[in-house]
Amino acid sequence: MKETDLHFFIDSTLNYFDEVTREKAQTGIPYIKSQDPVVLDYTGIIGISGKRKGSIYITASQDMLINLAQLILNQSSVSNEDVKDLIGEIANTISGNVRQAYGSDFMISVPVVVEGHAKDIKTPDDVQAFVIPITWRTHQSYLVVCLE
Amino acid sequence: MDKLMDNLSGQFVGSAKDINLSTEYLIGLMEQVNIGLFFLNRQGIISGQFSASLPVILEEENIADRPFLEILDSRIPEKALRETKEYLDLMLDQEHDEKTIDELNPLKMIEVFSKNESGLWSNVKNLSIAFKRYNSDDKDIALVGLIRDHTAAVELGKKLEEFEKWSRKQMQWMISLLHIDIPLLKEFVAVIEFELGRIDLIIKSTQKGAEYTAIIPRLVRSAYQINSSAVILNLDFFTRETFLFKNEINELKNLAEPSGHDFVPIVMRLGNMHGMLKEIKDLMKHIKGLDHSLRTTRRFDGGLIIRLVENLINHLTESTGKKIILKYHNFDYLGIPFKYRQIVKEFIIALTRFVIEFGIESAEKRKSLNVNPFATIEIASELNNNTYTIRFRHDGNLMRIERILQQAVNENYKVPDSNSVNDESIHPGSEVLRLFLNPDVAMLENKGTSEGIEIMNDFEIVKKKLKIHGGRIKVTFTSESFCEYNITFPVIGQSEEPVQNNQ
Repeated sequence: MKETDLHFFIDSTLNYFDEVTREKAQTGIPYIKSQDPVVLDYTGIIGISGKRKGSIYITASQDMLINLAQLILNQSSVSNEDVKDLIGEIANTISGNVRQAYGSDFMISVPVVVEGHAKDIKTPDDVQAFVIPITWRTHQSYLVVCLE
Repeated sequence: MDKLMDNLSGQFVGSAKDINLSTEYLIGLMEQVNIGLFFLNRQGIISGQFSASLPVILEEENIADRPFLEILDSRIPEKALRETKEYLDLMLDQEHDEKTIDELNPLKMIEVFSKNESGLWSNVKNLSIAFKRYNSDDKDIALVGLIRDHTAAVELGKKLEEFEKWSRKQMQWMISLLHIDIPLLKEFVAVIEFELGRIDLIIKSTQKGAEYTAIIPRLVRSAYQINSSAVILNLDFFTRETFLFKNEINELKNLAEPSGHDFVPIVMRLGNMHGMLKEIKDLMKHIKGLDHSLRTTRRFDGGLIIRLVENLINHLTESTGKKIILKYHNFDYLGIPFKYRQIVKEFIIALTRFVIEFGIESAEKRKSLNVNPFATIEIASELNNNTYTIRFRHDGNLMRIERILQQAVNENYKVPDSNSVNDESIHPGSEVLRLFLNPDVAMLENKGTSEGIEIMNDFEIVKKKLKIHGGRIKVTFTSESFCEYNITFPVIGQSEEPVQNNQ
């Protein structure tokens, strides 16, 4: 993976928050994913195949997604389904940007949503995964990028 | 084999037309050679008759009566899917020449993906899919499709290519590593592992923008350590990467308010270094007997010290344009007490760096001063009844040293006591020494370079270690001929470890 790829994924994620909430999210210092799991309450995963292979996932806390959903839907109460849809939508937006940026030679899967603290989200062993911490309001979420 | 199959399938379709072979007969033939055979009608829908290999190759159970493009949808890139549709439209239009259209076939060799249970891509198959017009009286069949699975061959080819690339690189690395003595290599790995781990931890635990600037000096320190370790072992492939890493960190220092984005190049380099370290460790496993030779003999270690200093001088003279001759014929490395081996090594290396950075002029400058453009560093040792002494002498920048010390004295420079070398007050010339070995004084004329700061930091650490070992340091210089450092260790009552028989 190149520097530009990582910049691209960071920008895509920050743009999402900026456009959808009109509130800027902050990116932390990216780091290399170790054996330690990076999984919060809800995770949206997309698989990338074709010229380059790998996966990207965003994982966020329930509180963050509830706040985000309340803001987007403009309603005070949101259901568990709304929250799940939202994490899927964030992943989908990122995947849409990937598709746009990398062209149609890439195969991008439909987002898969994982609910609850999984042990970890498996990424390919032979490809380095980078974790990008994203803070929106006071909520922490992580974008994990693992791409050849 | 591919050519043969092309001919074969062409002949089958031709034969079918000429002698009116039944589709069942064709399918039966294809079963024998593990080829997926199917028929498309004018709407591009697969007929109910196809070879048993087809569902296996496509990993799709329900094939009959489904549009062929639907089966490929989401399993090949969109662009390829679009081109396939255009290609099939042309094939179904009898007005166009079949051979010409065949050139446009985007499925001649294509990666076809299949989903795993979670819906993410998992398997990929390398398939070749060819079509031929079926000119028979059977109006339900327009095209014959043939699919062959080349996955095993393609995978093998890729693996071979990767292996070739990998083995070429590994061979070069192995040659570099074999030149390094095992204890040093182990020490190098330990240092790099520690420093990379430290950087990871610093980065991971710093997630507030306000703290970003504060961690940069810590990153610089680790980068310097990593780079220094690679340099003294002459590990070019690693040095290159660490040099770039160091540069990236230095870039950050110029930013008023660095953001997470700005750390991306550093993290990428960090990733590269982690990868390289892993490969070095893998290679080390292949070096026979490596794990059984942790401890070193004195003879071995002493030789290593000189080799490290030589490597360091070569590297630093290259990057600074200085010319230096190293003399060590009076350095009796056999005499280094086991207990002091590490500190002697660290001190000599730190002093060498210090002297080259601050004490020796460039060859050009020396020429202009009418002295030998080659400066000399001389390392000697002496073992008395109760002391072991290292003498480190050089003939550089003597006028400058005097000037700096004079400047420090003129400015009434005060040296703090807390970090000072072991009780210099009892040594003659201790005031000079304390001034001379103080970072702020040494850098009076050479302020601001991060390399310089790190060299001084190294020196400070080694000075502290020297104090712990009860060592003393004395510096003597004459503005005409030399500057000499004497480092003395007590040896009375030191229990000597036996020399290991390590060939």
